[in-house]
Parts: sequence; C-alpha cells; structure tokens
Amino acid sequence: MSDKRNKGREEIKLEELLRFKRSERPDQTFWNKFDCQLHQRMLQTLIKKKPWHLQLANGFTGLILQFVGFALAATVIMMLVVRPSWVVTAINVAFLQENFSVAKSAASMQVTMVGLPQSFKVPADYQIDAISASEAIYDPGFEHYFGVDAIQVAVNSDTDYSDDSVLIYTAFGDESIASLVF
Amino acid sequence: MVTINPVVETLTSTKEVSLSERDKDWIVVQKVQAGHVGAFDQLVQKYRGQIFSVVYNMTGNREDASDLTQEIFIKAFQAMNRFKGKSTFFTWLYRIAINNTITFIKKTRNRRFINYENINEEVTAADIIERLTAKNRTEKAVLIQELQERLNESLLKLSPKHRAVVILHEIEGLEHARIAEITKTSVGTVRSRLHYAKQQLQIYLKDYFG
Repeated sequence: MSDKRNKGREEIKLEELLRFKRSERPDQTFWNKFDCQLHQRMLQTLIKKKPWHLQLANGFTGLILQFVGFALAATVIMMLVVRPSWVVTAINVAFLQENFSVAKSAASMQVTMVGLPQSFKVPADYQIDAISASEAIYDPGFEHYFGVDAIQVAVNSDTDYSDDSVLIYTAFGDESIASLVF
Repeated sequence: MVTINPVVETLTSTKEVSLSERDKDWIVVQKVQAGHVGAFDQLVQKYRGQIFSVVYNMTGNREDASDLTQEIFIKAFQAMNRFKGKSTFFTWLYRIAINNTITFIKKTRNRRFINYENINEEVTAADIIERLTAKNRTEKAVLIQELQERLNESLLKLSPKHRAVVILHEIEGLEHARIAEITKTSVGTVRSRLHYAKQQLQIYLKDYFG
C-alpha cells in the first residue's frame, strides 16, 4: 500500500504517458471485419477496368509507338540495304584527297566519276585552274596584275561605323601578292 | 466505453527485425511478385496491427484508420513489382503508410472527427494508470478516458511530420535510424523533430506532470 503511495508521488514522464497509447488496440471482431473488407477491395482492384479515356489514351499511345517503331526500322533497313550512287564512299574520299590537292598541277588532273557504272562515265572536258600563291612568287612567268595593294579597314567613328573606311597601304609594296579588300 | 481485451498483441516493432525476418518477408514478396496473390495475405496478417496503430495514432479516428490501412495494403500490393528489396519490406510498407497518412491528414485538414479505439489495459498502461489514479484520486475509468482524450488531442495538435516521428519512436518503439529511413530524412532531423514534438507535448499535457 505504501509502495502505491510512493509510486503516486513519483514524477510521471511524458514517455510513460505516450506508452499508454500502446494499449489502444482493436479486438478480434474488428480484425475479422477488416480482413473481409480488405479482401473485397483487393478483388475489386484486381478486376477493375480502367476508365474509357485512359483506355483510349493507352490505345492511341500504343498505335503511335507502333508507327514510330515501324518507321524507324524501315529507315534503318533503307540505309543499310539501299545505297544511292551519289553517296561518297570511303574509297572515293581517299581518291579525292589524293588527286584534288590545290598544290598539285591542275593541268594534269583528270576527274573520274567514281561510283557510277561504266555506261555513265563521261570523259572530263574541263580543267581545274588552281592558283598557288607560294608557287606564284617563284614562278618567273607569273605576271602581277593585282594593281595597288591595299587593305580597307572599317574605322569606328562615334557610334556608327558602317560607312567609314580608311585605305591602308600594305608594307609589302610592289612585292606583295594580293590586295585584300574587306 | 472501455473494454478489456485479453488478447495482447506483441509489439513486433519493439523487437529488432533480424536478417532472417527480412529474408522471410523477401521470400513472400517474391511469391507475390511471381503471381501468388494469396501469399500477400501473410504480409497483411503480419503487419496490419502495426500499420493500423501508426495510422490510428496519426489520424485519431478509428474508422479512418481502418479505411486508410486497407488502402495502404492495396497500394503496397499494386506497387509490389516495384519493390526490389533494397530496404526491408517493413520499412517500405511503413513509408507507404506514413506518406499516405500525411496526404490524408492534409486533405481532411478542416474535418476533425475523433473516434477512439478501445483500451487494452493489460498491455502497458496498468502501472501509469495506477499512479495517476493515486495522484489525482479519481476513478480509474474516468481517468483512463480523460487521459486517452488528452493524449489524442495533444498529438493532433502537432504537425503531421512531428506527429509521425513521436508515434514511430515513443509508441511504436522504432529506433532513430529506422525512422530516418522510413521518412527519408537524416537521423539529426529525426532527433530534432522528436525533441520539438516532445517539448510541445509537455506543454499540452502539463497537468499530468509534477
């Protein structure tokens, strides 16, 4: 009895009060009802159909995806199987790099159509003129016909400098190879 | 109305979830994922008490808690294929429960209808009730009812996040780390929320102290 009184005088802690909440437990009748309701709801969930607008959306999305899939597959097949004659192959690129160098003598250059059948091959009836600046300087037969060497540079005048320009003569004098006009 | 329920459910949450427990759950989960719908019932039977307890203490309403607990299990069932076993099934289920309950509380913020659960005096309350009865010199039944009301009201005054932490720690007996995992927060946040919530509850329940 005296123990009980002492206990009553003891300080009550919050944790102890909260533990009282553990005693709030449903009985078996509650659980029987709970199980029954849960089973019903789960069955409903399993057999429940989606609303018509969701079904339609899903169907539409499926069709689009199918179409996109077929289109992609067809494109890939086209690219792999059918190759048009004008498509530049690796061999053609090597040939072009070898023969179409600017520094090479243009006169001896013959253009050959690669990738076309023999019947479509046409003899080249033109020549490519190439100008090489480095060769021109040392070529005694090369004639300077560029006239005055000048560089025209736009000058900033106030805010609008679109029309203002100044003529600057290059330091090369007559020896220069080209005039640059900007 | 106070009824004495002789069935004492063991608080599984106070025990540590051992590795074997985790494995057992994982086996059942894999069965459900393979299409054995009936296997899900094992998980329901195992965790319904704890989930209901959390939801009930969060909402303060017996009927809402029942509906919400069913909904939580249905959602878990529907999302079962997404469960990869990275966390325990227990943690995953608790996370669904807490998130759904917080959403429910936010939705029904303006509607407060309290419907309490029966008290099972034999679980843990006997000692504290005895002490309170001796202290206040009131009838036991009156005191129990009053205490139940005051505790529920005080919990409902807390924000849902603070309420969840207090319930999981003080009532369900989960560790800080486990609560952090469930609520996807840090242990520091859990401690901080717990400290604040307990301070608030001390104020609301000051009549019972001292």
